[in-house]
Order: sequence, then C-alpha cells, then structure tokens
Amino acid sequence: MSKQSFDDVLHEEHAKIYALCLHLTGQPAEAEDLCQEAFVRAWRAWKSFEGRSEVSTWLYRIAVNAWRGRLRKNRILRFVGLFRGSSDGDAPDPEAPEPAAPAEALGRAMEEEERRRLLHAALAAMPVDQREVLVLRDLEERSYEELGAILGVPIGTIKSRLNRARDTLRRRLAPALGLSEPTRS
Amino acid sequence: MKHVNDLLSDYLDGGLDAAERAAVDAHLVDCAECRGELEQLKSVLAWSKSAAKTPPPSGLEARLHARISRERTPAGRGRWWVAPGVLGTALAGYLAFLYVRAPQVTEHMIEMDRAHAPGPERFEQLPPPAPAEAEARAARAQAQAKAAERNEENRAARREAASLNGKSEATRSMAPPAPKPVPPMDELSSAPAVQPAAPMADLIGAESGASGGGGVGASNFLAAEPMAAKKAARDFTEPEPTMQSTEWRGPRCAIAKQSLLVIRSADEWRRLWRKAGLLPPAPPEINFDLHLVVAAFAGRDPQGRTIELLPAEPSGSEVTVPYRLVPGGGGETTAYDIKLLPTTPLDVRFTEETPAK
Repeated sequence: MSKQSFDDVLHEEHAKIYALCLHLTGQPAEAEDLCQEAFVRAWRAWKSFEGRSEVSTWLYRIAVNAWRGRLRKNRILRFVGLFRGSSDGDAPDPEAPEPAAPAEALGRAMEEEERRRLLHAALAAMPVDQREVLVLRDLEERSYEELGAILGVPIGTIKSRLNRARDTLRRRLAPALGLSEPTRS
Repeated sequence: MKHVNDLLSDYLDGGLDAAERAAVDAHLVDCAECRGELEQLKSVLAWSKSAAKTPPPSGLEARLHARISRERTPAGRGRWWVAPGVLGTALAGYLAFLYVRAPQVTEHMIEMDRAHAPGPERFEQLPPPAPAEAEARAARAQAQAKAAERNEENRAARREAASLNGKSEATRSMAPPAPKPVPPMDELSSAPAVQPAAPMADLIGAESGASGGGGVGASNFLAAEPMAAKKAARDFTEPEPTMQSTEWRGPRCAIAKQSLLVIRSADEWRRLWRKAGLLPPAPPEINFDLHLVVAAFAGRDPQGRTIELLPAEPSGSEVTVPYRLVPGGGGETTAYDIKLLPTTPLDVRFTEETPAK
C-alpha cells in the first residue's frame, strides 16, 4: 500500500489532533500552538514514518510528546524562578479553577463554552498522567492498545491510571452537574 | 464481598473476565453505594464526551498548511546546509577579531576558515534573482512572517514570565501588585499620577481565580529576561487605524465606578462589554494573540467630564497609557474610552495627564 501524502494526513487528522491539544492544554490559543508544533515535528519525521502504526496513533504520540516537552520546560522555569512548591509535574495544578457551584450549574442551561470550561477545569486539576489517559481513552475514544503505543506504558498501567482518572473526574464533576451522592452503606 | 470501586472502570469498558464480571454484577445488586458510583461515572463520562466535542477553529487547516509550507522551502528546512555557511561566517568574524588582537596565530586559523567557508557551489544552488512582482510578494510574506514571529516571541515571553512567577497568564495580566480601593471621582485628580490597572475581579467578577493581589511586577520579568523586555519595549507600537475600529469612546456606559483595566482574553472582553452595556450587544471581534485592550472608565461624574486615552508609550519595563479627563457640561456622565494596543509581555500602567495650569 502506498504511503498517503502528508497533506492528506493533515487534512484528515488535524481536527482530532487539535481536539487532543485543546483537552490537554485547556486553552484554545495554546492548543493551536501545540497542534502546529506537533504537525511541524510530524512533517520533519514524515520521511522516516514507515507505517508500522496507524498514522493517527503516530500523530497522537507526537502531540503528547510535544505537550510533555512544554510541561517540562514550564516546570523547570517555575522551579528556577520560584524555588517553591513541588516540582513534580504529576501533581494537580494548584491554579486550576474550581468547577461551578452545584446550585449555579443546576440553575441554568450550560452553554457549550461553559461546559468545556468546566470540563477543562476538572482536567487541569488532575495529575498529568491521569489527564493523558482520560483524554485519549474517554474523549478521543482510543483503544487500550493505541494508548499503550502513544504513551509508551503497559496496558495494566493504563488501566490503573484510567481508573484513578475517572474517579477523580467523577468526584470533581458530579457535584457541579448536580448528580446525587451515592448512598453510603 | 468488599466494594468494587477499583473494578468499575474496567467493568464499564468490558475489560473484566467472565468470573470478575459476574462477581461485580452480584455485588451491584446488593450495594447501593457502588451502584450509585457506577451511575455517576456513566453520567459524568457521557457528559464529558459531549462537552468535549470541539470543532477546530476556522482556518486552522490553512494555517497548518502555511506553516508546513515554510518548512518545505529551502529556507525553512535547510538548516543542515545553511549551518555550515552560518558557522563559516561566524568563524570568519571570530578570526577577524583574533587577527586584530593576535596577528601571530591568524595564518593558521585562516586556513581553517577557508576549509569551512561556503564554497562557490553553494552559491550556484541559489535560485536566480526573482522578478519584481515575486520580490514584492516575498517581501510581503517576509514581513508577515516577521510579524508572526514577533507575536510568537511576545506570547512566549508572556508564557515564560507567567511560569516564572507561578501565575496563570490571566492572573498576571489582571492583578496589580496590591489591589486598592478605587478612589471616588472627586479624588481622581489627586490620585497618584501612575496607576496600575484595576483588578478585573473588582469590576466584572473573576471566573478563574484571577482575584487577589500579588501580581507580577515588571521587575520579575526583567530579572528573568532583561533582553526580552527591552526587545518587547522596542517592538511596541500602537496599531495604525484600519477599517476595523481600534477605539470605542463615549460619555455614558453602565459602569459607574472609576476603573482602569487591561484585558487580555476574549472571555474578559466579552464580560467587560456586557457589563458596560455597550452596543451592539455582541462585542467586536478581537484577536487577543495580536492585541490587548486598555479600558478607562471615568465613573459617575456630575460635572459631565469625559475620559480620553492618549497614545501609549513603552517606558523601560512597562507600557505607559496616559489618560485625561476632558471637561464637559452636558449633565452627569459615566464616560469610557476603550482602545486596542498590540499585545506585549510588559506591564501596562496608566498615568493621568493633568491639564497645564
């Protein structure tokens, strides 16, 4: 089978890669920046791409790596600049905005943007490794095998991260969505 | 059986074997707590999936193609062959420096330089001179690329400055060193000549934790990136008037409190426009990658004065935005002047210009 042209790949995949970048960063401008960086990196590596994995999996991996590179850079700058707080990037972002209060969320129909803001606030409050698996599995609907290839970790690790990530998301969003507390037995 | 919370995620994905699945099913029949959690999880995931549906911004594909096209051109991708030329030039400069300082070693080093300098074959690879039209097009593209690059540098500097200070960009741009009560109109003239922008939260309500003091002083940014700050100051120029409005000014709006604001995001812009009750109801589109907004509200003034923002100037580590109150006489006003400025990583400060006595 002949290799697709890079232009076709860009045409077919850019929306998915942008969505991934948006869910990882939570900021439209930063997402576009990251998406551009991912496609530039992909273009530079395009000649060496042999098609052993799906092109979308390959692109997802590039985008996730680009994002991790940015996180590392920011973490070093923050550490050098402040000498305070944890330098562990897996910790939740303390600046993450709180989800809307339940009454507020219940009291009005949420607009799309408001819903996205709420979702991204919950994602931003999550440790990085959990955020990655949750975005790829539940929002981008990738299989466990693809997650393994994208993140470079065993499926067992992915499952346990996903379990924790979903639990974190549930605890954070359920009150904002007005879902009743499970009965304690 | 103990609770099955740890298995619920796998259970939802159908990742359990038959025996485990049967055990979870049996547990769920009896355990309201685990059943409740499973229901919550299903609802939250379904909601998240629908909330996550995001079309890409318009024009994204074209912008990506344009960016890749730059990579495709020799200038974009040719670092491997440009590098020897650049290195050769740099080496030649260094050798010239050494030649002046230490003539006794230059002969040998010049030989080395000849070995590294670009040979004639490099020049033969260059395309023939472009015709005038193509040259103009190239110049335009170069100017656009330069503007984009400058904007990118600004954004990067802002991101880095925000990271250095452990604050989100929104927090950095909105929060002054120490929030202070907004002086009433009567005190405006006697207020300190230089004023930081008011906290956004005071006026239109913070949505993302942008309230609170401890904002970033320009000094922190300067300490980290003094050259970047100087460059940012050099690059700062007010936009030329275009077909699109770059200023909105009037004697009355819905904001009756004296405020000086800097807006750096579409969300804050939307809220400010709504709060000020300006028309049309939808705020004008602004590309906050390229611009920021400065807004001055004079507050309720029985003397009927209006407010005017004067041309902004970079000054050291900050951009200074002068404003003045203009005498009126047509009854009470709540005047405003809102203006676009090019985006900058520098702090924005307002200064009041008092009329000459």
